Amino acid sequence: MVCIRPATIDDLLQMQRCNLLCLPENYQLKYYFYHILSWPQLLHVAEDYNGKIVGYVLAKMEEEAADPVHGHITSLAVARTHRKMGIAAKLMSATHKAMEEVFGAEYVSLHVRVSNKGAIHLYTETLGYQIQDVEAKYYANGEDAYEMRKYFNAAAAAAAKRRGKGRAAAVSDSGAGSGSKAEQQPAAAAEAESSKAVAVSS
Amino acid sequence: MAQPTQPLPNKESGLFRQVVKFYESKQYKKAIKAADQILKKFPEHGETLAMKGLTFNYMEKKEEAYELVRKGLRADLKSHVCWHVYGLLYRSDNNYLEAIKCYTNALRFDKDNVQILRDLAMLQIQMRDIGGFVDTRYRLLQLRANNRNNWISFAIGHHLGGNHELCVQILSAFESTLDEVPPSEAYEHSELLAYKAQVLQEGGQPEAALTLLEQQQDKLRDKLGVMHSKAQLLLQLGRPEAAEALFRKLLVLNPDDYRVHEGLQLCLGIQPPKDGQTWQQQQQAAAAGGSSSEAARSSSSSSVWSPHSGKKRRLLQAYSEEQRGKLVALYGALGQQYPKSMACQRIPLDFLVGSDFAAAADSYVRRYLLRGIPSLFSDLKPLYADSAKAAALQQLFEGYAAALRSSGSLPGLLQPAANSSSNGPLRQQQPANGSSSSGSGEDNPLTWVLHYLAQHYDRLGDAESALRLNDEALQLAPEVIELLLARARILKHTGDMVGAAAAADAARKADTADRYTNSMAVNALFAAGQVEAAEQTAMLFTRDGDQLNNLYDMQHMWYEVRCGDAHLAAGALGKALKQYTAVAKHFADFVEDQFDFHSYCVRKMTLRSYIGLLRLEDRLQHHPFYMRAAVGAVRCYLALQDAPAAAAAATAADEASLAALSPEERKKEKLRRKKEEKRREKEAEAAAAAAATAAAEAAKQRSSSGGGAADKQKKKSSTRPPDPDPDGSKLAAAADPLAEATKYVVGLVQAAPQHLESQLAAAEVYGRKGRALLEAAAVKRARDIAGPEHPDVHRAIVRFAQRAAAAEWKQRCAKVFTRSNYFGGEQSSDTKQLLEQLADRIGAVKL
Repeated sequence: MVCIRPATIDDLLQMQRCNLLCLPENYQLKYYFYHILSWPQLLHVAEDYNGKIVGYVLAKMEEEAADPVHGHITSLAVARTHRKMGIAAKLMSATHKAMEEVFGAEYVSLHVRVSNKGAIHLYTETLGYQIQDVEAKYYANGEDAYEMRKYFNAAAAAAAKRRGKGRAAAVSDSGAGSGSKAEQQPAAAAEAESSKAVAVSS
Repeated sequence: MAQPTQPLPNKESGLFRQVVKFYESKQYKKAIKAADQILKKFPEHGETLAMKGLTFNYMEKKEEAYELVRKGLRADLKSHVCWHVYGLLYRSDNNYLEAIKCYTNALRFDKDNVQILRDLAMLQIQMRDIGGFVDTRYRLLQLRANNRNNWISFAIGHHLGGNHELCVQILSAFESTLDEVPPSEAYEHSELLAYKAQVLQEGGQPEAALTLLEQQQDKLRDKLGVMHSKAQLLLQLGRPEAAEALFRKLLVLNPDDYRVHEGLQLCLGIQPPKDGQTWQQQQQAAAAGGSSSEAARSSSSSSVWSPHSGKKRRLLQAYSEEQRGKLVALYGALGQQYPKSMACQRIPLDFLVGSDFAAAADSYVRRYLLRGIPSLFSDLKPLYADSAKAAALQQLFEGYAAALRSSGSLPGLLQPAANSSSNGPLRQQQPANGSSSSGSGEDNPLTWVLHYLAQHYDRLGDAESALRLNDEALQLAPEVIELLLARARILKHTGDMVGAAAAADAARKADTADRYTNSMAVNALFAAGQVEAAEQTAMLFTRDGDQLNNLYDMQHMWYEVRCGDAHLAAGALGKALKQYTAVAKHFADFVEDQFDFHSYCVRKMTLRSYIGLLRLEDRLQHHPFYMRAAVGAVRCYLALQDAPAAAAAATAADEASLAALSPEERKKEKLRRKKEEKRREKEAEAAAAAAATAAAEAAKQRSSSGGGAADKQKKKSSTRPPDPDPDGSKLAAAADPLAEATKYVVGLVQAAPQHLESQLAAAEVYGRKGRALLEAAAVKRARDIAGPEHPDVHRAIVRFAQRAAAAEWKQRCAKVFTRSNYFGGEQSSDTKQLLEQLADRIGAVKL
């Protein structure tokens, strides 16, 4: 039995464990904290009968004012032992729904290794993503990434087409690739500043 | 606003403002320059000295920083700035208790300083000084009532303090000040409402919570979460029909959420099984004052002290006939409604019995076999708690194997019992029966039938059959990695760790791009004691080949725990300690991680998750990784204590090997080592410099918003000195290993007293320290947790008895236990009983 459900904060350590078991792109726990404390509805897990997390999706909203509201898949993994059961598709669908319903996202984007045939098949054939762009040497080992997008409704897709896709290349996701570190402490930025400040009277 | 006690003339006053400005914009050199200009004229100006010190702190001059700040404080003891700076300095070193003292002093001289109050509140919540936090937040709200965050934080304080009613009142008062919520803040407002409902529910007002969720329906964005909350509230309020309607709606959205299925079953009056809780649930139950002994007992089965003593398993539930009837009807319909849902098809196997079970299992597993889905056994494993079901599954799969071997196709479907109400609805659409028998390998269902049977026999402890079937499957499909991984597990269960490691490594080589297989191989290599091979294998998946740092940076805790265990088993205590302390450090970092979120979450209004974070942090030390690492570290220190010679021997051996060389060779060797060290240092420096450049570039790129974050990152990477103790030999050279072990034990016993491992570790440490009473108490608690028959408890009792039998101890124990009020009346008689039992046991084990 495998349970597909929204993640809670108690799942994060296990999500990190699952990530380290399965994928070469890893993140510190704080980055998982950052996701669930910013967009709690977007994280989903697949839980085994004994409470073990065997799959997860870690996702976020891009909040740059320049782009239309959209979500981004930071990381998706399913343990090898639990493949071929459609878990990844179910996790992704749940997250897509939350992006659209809770945050009003127009589309969702992700990065994938150009060599990852299995994942590309899932994204394009099962989930309806389309290749938006290629980002050269996105991954630490020098491999290129496809930037993929899925529009949640036809109108948004058409509107995006009219706007043209020139801006796509500007999207830089430091989360899923080699640059993950740069984004580790976004929460820290503003606050650390304010609490470092000295209370000067003059 | 407080008046400065050492007023500066206009020019210097302006310079001082510049110092602060430069400091805040991280232009540290300029800040120092400006400060020095003031100090030239006013060398004893306290606030300037303090600011200069604080600036030094961010220029990696810690000692000078403290010196200057203290000097400044001495010069101007009544300056709130000096005290605040002193607090900031302590805070930057994570010394929060001292920082709180400083802030409190600062506020004595400037009681309404909002900046200091805010900093103080942050430390108070971090240290869980809830009372202090509420007070500070109250003052902030009084000072700045027009600030949203002040209202919210004040309310959170009362929630955490258990004053739910007041919390709700404050939230309501704040809401009443709101005008129309702009669309840009709709999400935040929605989260606020959902949080309020949570507080109402936790405060024992489910009715009010439900009303709120219903009335504000259109403002709530988190439809799924809210629907779930409402269903739970309806159940709590004894309105199962209404709850059922909601759970059914939730199933439409996600039919594979077992929480929804449990809710639905509750609506029908069927309690979900209590076993197989995750550790969080156990902790939550324990924290909520539930039957802690029961929770502890079930957790003790996953003992850390003896690492391979088995995992918790979800036990099968016993259903009454009436309940079973209801479930059959429910899932008959759901199975048809959601043919693609794994849960709707799988759950009936839990409650069906006899021939109904066999028929349902038959129809269920074919989909897995024909599609070659590797997880079938793991999917059905919980059913093995019922031996009748295990037998039925064996019969079923043996039947498949026989049919496939002889005719090449699966046999016809079993029919359920004729009088069963499950006839019909539970049967699903059957996939075509006749997959090709000619195909071999991955597409051949026989491969997967054999794979299942091998795991089945392994589960039943019949390794011989398991291996035979695994062999047969491998002959059909030598390329299927799952078969090799299964082989590794079977061999591991037989105790052949070396064979297991070989099989897992063969699996890894069959798909070197898959990290999961790599992880399994690393794991098996560690278990086989092939530490170096394990480390090399893990390195294949870390960036830049810089294995150690990367695994550590990414908080790779399962690796560190396994690696530590392997080193400990090999007697490499320093290396083991290195790994265990790394895990302990990660957990310290996790506690630290929450700091930034205290204000972040209030801004983002993700308060439900925030409360979850605080609660998680408070029970982090229960986490299995932490327990295993802490217990491992204790064992290392105990080994060091017991045989300090062994640790010294390593150094001695090294010296001996040097001594064996001729004087010239010795010189050469020493020179070589020195060179090596220098080279390492140089490399580390170069790496640090490169990282700094990269980070600086990154900072430039994102200077608009995330500048602070990037800078923090840069600091982190550029200043990391080379690891001064790469092999943990300094750790192993601890002057007083028993004292080090005690530190861990005190923490364990305090944070997780209901864990067997905590008590066993405590018994060992206190026994060696000659603390008879503490050892007795730990042994007694261990016995209460796991029962006297538990092997580890038995060992602890015997060790205690051995020590108690020693003459000196006898006296000591007698002294302790004759002071009858030491334990308190009832407990002491219990202790006496324990001692009597011990006496019996001493006889039994023939010391």
